Amino acid sequence: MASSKYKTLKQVERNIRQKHLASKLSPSHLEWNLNAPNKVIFSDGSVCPGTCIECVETPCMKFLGTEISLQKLTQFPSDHDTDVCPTKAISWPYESASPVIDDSLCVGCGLCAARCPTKAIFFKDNGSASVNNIPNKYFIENSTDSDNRKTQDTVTLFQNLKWKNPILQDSEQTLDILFKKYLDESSSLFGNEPNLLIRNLLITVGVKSAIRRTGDTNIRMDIVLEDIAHNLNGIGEIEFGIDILNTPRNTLDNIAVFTSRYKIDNLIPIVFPLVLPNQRSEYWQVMKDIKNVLKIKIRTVTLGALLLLLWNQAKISLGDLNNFYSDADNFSIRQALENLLHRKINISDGYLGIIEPQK
Amino acid sequence: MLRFPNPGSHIDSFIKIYKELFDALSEAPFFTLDDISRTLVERNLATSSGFMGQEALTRSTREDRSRDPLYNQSKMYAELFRMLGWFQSLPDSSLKYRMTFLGAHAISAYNDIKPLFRESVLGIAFPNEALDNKGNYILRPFSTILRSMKCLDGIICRDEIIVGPLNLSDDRNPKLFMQMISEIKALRGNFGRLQKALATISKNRKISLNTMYNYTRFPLAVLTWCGWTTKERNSTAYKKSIVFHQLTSAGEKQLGEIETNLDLRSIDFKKLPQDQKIKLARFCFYSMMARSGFDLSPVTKELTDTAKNLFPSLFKKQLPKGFYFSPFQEFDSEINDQIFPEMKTQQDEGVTATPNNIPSTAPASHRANSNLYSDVVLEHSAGNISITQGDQDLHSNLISIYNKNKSIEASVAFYLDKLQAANKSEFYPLVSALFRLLGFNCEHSRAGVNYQRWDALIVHPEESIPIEIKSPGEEQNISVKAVRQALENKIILLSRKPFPTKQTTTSLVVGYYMPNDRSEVSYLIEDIYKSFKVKIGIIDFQTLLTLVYKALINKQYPNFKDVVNLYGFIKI
Repeated sequence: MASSKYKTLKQVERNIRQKHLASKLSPSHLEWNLNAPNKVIFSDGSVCPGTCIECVETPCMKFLGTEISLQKLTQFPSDHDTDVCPTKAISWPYESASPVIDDSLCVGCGLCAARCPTKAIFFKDNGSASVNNIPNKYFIENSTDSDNRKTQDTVTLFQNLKWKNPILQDSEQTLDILFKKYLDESSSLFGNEPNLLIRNLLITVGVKSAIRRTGDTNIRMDIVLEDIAHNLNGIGEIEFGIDILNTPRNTLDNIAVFTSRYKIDNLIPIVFPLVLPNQRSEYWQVMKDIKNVLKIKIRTVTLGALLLLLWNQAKISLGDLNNFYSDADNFSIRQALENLLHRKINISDGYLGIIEPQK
Repeated sequence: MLRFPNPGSHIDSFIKIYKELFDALSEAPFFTLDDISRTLVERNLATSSGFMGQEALTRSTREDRSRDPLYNQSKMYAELFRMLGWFQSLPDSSLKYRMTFLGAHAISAYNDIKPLFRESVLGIAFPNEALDNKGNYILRPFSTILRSMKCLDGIICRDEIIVGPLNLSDDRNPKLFMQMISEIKALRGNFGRLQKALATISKNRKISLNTMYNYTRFPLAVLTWCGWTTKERNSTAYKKSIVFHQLTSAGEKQLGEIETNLDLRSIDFKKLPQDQKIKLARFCFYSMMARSGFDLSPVTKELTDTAKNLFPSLFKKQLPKGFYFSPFQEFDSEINDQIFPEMKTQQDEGVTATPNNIPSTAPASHRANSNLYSDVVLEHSAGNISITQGDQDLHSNLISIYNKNKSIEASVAFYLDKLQAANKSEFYPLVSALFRLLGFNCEHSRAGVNYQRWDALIVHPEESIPIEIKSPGEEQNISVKAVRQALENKIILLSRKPFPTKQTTTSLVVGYYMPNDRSEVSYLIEDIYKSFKVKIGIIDFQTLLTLVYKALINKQYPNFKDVVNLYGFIKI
């Protein structure tokens, strides 16, 4: 940004004391933990807690501009909100040594934890995340310029590390806590920023996406997705409220606009609901009608499905969402999800409407 | 009522837009609303009529600028940025703007913009010399809202903000402030009383309720974004569940700061000699910067000198802890040039203004694709169409209206007016009956029958036509929403086959008035046809009534084939 013309004051800098992993150590893998810091296991068997190294880029808090912008459909007027946390629960106050997470705002989605390079963010049993910044002998404070380079080396080292256990277990108890915060109408977090939550989950599991700016009523599609490598585009409706019956027709509107006005084909249309509609909902029958008449399959990917992908650190592409087609003949998205996770899911049939309709 | 424009109540987007505008326009000595619109479009921050990029700008631009959506959106942004002191108008025109020194700090605040934004909203005070003030308010709105909440058990709802703080004539008069608080306390417990108070303001100020609600969108978004309030439902204050805004601990802390600092307004500077005015204004600005997290070491000497040499004579009784006064929100650009001479020199070195290169084009409604008007030919029928027993009353009523009004046009106008508030239970069966009077076998769908998603259906042995109806009670003008539903009706009819139809047969929308933005509906109908080969036809109630009267009076009936092929707006 150009501000050269104005000789402005400078904001007081945070007192950042970056850290790096002691050079002799060679980590072998990570273990996600609950109610205690995650574990970094070294090749000699020693263990240290995942610790905040106070990185300047703060990937736990912010996406880079390139992460939230599209490569092909650059004229899509997307939301430029770079916040990782959809409920703005994570911040880095000046007086704090590291980012802090506000329990009352954290819904426990796991986005910040997944993006932290040194896995310093773990979950407490109340479902809120916490940053471990307790000093230890394994992570050493930088004192020279060459130490700053070591911080970057530490980030690279952790990027390629294998992990044990998901970020959060796909247990009904875990999902219960999150959904309670998100579904409770009396909660101030009820339905908070659904578009941002879905976009951030998609980007973090590997699907390039951009959302419509909040309040822009002229662009009707909620989210646009792309996969340049496979020449695929996606278009989506995000609906966490009661308008689920409108989503099939809104999706057709989106498809019509994109194919007719912008000549974009290879479109994968997706509805992202909070939960799957009940079996008796007309939603399912209309999905089948659309497939029958227009030969268009509109996929349905729930918030819960994306959370499970994130918690298991799945890396997927837009094409992988192709298998999430369901309609009145088959309501379940279990198979599609298990194929991506390469294992069975520990969520019972119909639980919260995450994988099958509740009723 | 104090009015806040509402170009969008998402504060992160709002700040992002300022950053983009600053990046594009700060070097120019001035810029206009067209420059703002063009920047918004170039940076993919603006859309119009479902189009994005340059196409959005072209489609939005109207000869009558007051009807140009993008121009109006830019104007609203400009008004808010002026309120925040991040834009200032030039002395020769309130529609020529420049960035300010305060706005430049919003760009420099890359560590954390929140404190500066908080200070900027708290800096809004009326009357001031920076804005074209309307109304006679003496009011610092955001601190007044926070103060009011504190006095009202820490909570306030939207309607109370309208009735109370945003309507307070003088916040510096403790008696008036406490009177306002007492009035709100007296309203609590009775929702009807609150609504009555709201209606009185609406009537006296000649502002509709919806417009008043819109004026609160920006302030409410600010309160939440700043962390001063959270939204909670409360069922006790008015004995019904209402969204209230609750003061947070951060809000209380902010209020504490407000109360310990001295609240100065531009009028307080009037009596000061010029040199004192400049020194005090600069001190206030830098106090604001300190609270916004900026390092004041480059100006420490100046501030120390001011405190030492000026304050003992100005504040004889007690030296204030700090000040609430924001020069860029209180003084006009000429005075600020005197207060901050270093800024003026920098601006004079700026490049020339960007020319206005946005072509003015005809209103979008005039540019609608002419192909989207379909002619329906009227043909004379040899015999009478048989009228069913159930439609006899309607038939008699229409004839009686004609006999009184003596012309088809007058009869149509009379009936149209009579139905202007009709709800769906009245309107849907009526539309079906009118189609029957035209000789079509039209069935009104019963509620709750799943496969009948259409509101009515013209049943035909080969080409049945689904009809999506919108009563004036639902929407006065046909919208894109109805078009989407018409597409879905057609898909369901083709898929489930409860009645015979063809892919080429139209799917109808019948509504009270033609769309407000006819072009937007035209483009969607066109997009749907190009993508899915489904025709959507639009009939407004006036045209339907005209068709019926021509049938009843002149024995001229619409050609069924023309109706079957209707694509776009009906023309007779």
